[in-house]
Amino acid sequence: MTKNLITASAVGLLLAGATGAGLAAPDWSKVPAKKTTVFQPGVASLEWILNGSDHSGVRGVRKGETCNACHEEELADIGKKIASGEKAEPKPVKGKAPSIPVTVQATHDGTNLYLRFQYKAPASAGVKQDDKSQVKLAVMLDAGKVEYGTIGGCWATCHDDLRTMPDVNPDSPKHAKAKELDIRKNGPTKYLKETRTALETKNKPRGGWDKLKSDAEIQAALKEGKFLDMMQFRSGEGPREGYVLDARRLKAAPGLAEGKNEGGTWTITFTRKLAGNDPATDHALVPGKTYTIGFAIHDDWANERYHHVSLGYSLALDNPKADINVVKQ
Amino acid sequence: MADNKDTGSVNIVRRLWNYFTHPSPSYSILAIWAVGLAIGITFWGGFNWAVEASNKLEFCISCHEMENTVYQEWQKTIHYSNRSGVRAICADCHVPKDWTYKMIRKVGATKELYGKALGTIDTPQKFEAKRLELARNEWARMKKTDSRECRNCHTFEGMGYEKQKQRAKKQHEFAKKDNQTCIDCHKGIAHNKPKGMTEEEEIGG
Ligand code: HEC
Ligand code: HEC
Ligand code: HEC
Ligand code: HEC
Ligand code: HEC
Repeated sequence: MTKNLITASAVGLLLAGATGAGLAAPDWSKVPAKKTTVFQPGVASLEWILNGSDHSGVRGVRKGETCNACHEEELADIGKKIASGEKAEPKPVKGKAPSIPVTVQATHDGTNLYLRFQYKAPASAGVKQDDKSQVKLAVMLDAGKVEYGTIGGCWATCHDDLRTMPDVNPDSPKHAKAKELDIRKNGPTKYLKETRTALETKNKPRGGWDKLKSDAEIQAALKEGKFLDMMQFRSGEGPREGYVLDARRLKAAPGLAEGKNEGGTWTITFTRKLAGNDPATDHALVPGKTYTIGFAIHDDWANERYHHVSLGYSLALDNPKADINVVKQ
Repeated sequence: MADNKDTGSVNIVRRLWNYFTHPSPSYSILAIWAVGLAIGITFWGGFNWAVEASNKLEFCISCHEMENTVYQEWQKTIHYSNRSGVRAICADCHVPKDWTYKMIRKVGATKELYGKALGTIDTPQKFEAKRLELARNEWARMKKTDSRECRNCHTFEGMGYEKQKQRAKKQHEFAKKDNQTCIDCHKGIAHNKPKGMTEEEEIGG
């Protein structure tokens, strides 16, 4: 059984690789386009969102309102407030675009999911944080099981004690599990509340990077689908895929994504199996179910927290009620 | 709101104030205050003109405690200057319109006379140290009346939700459902927010 799975995913990976090279490309002109805006999130982590003194909107969040219910029409304004340093940004990058309009399209052919993002690159701030990739685009998918996944998309994974965030612990690289959890010299990567025994939202340091649950509990969460499925395009290196659970776990995924810049407009396309390239760590996309998608762009050689982020959008196969309707063709 | 200068009556009230607040050294402060309080209440109760005079902006800021702090802050807010040209002055928010309510506020305000005499907030440092306590008194008063003074000028019913910012629209829908009142969410609307507010105070409890 496991052997079959492994073979199947190997074939899947190969196939996915092949699609990148040119299986019948979808006709994008037939696919509805969702216009969104990604904005600078500053240091507005999940703890920031859940702290009433920072974010009075927490009242609504506690009731299960999505970020978009209060903010969808004002994302560019939020970006301006943060980019200027007026709110939630202790170290603004001068000249960096406060927000970027992005068009998202999704389609499938019964086997593969095709996701396309397009945006006009804003003026450069002239700051190079990543020396390999001018552009990176990451996508996260929730299947409805992660707390704050449906409400906030990527926000479920963002914490005050991650690298480059205000409450990162300088000794975190010395943690016994540092290697396993991919804790770099400047701190931990994304994780979910589900994998921690507690999450501090009031007193500093906020977060819970070192309050790990047992391995058995974390494995159980993975089996139950309590993780965010993740894919990433990188212009200067190959694409990666994986998931966020107790840490961000990514591996190379040749052929998963491709992108090009034509006349200043970036077009980035992902192709993966609906069933998932690796069923253990990908959410299978099935008809009748609604998922949440969030994405982030590291534009203009940005790195770490200096990305532009989307709120969470609903995504479903052949369902016009979803924010992003994955139509069949 | 009316900004017509009626400084004559303001000056009378102010002189009374000075009389109370600069007592001659030969009497005990307490005795003067006892008499002063009685006279003060009678005056305010008996003479509506005095009440009206004390609702003038000039009156409120005749004490530097009010002028150097909250008055300066208010001048930077939308209630001082907005595109409609309707100005909300101190008394619009702090002194109830209805006369009986007014009397309650006035009697309450005798505390301010004590405060003036004792110098409870006579330096910016002392003011900041006490701001949260003073603010909490105001919040409690407004909460008890369902923010009556705000509602003299604004109502949920009269708000064109479709014209409001999305977050405002959403919060006001919630507020109506949850029976929240304006001051639950609009703290610091006319002055700097006090330091040290609890989370529940920030999000309207
Ligand atoms: C019930 C409405 C509501 C919901 C739901 C909500 N917010 Fe807010 N948000 C607000 C309000 C109101 C403010 C401004 C008030 C404040 O500063 O406390 C705000 C402020 C912000 C800001 C600061 C920038 C600014 O313009 O003030 C960010 C960033 C933000 N919200 C992100 C989010 C995210 C991310 C989520 C979902 C995880 C979310 N919000 C959910 C109401 C909401
Ligand atoms: C005699 C000088 C003086 C005048 C005139 C004055 N105040 Fe004050 N006010 C004070 C002092 C002193 C305090 C602090 C009292 C204390 O320490 O409890 C105060 C406190 C307040 C508070 C906090 C209330 C509370 O319950 O703690 C408000 C609101 C206020 N003043 C509004 C006004 C308004 C409105 C006017 C005009 C109608 C006004 N004041 C006129 C001296 C004055
Ligand atoms: C004398 C009438 C009056 C009173 C009393 C009053 N307001 Fe206002 N308020 C106004 C006017 C006029 C505006 C500006 C409207 C405009 O031009 O957009 C305003 C604006 C506002 C705004 C919009 C702020 C912004 O930045 O856009 C809020 C919120 C508000 N008032 C809340 C309150 C609250 C809370 C109270 C009670 C503590 C209150 N108001 C009392 C007249 C009043
Ligand atoms: C549940 C919290 C809540 C309550 C209760 C509430 N408001 Fe608001 N109100 C908000 C938020 C949040 C905003 C948006 C503020 C911003 O721009 O950051 C707002 C905005 C406003 C505005 C400006 C509208 C705009 O489009 O900018 C006015 C006027 C206002 N409120 C008046 C009132 C009045 C009057 C009451 C009481 C009858 C009240 N509010 C009760 C949360 C609340
Ligand atoms: C639009 C309504 C409004 C207006 C106009 C207004 N205030 Fe206030 N004031 C408040 C509210 C609400 C509070 C409660 C604290 C808070 O939320 O900032 C307050 C608090 C105060 C306090 C307690 C200290 C503090 O900062 O909390 C003083 C003193 C005060 N006001 C005096 C004045 C004076 C003097 C004026 C005129 C120059 C004035 N206020 C105008 C609404 C108003």
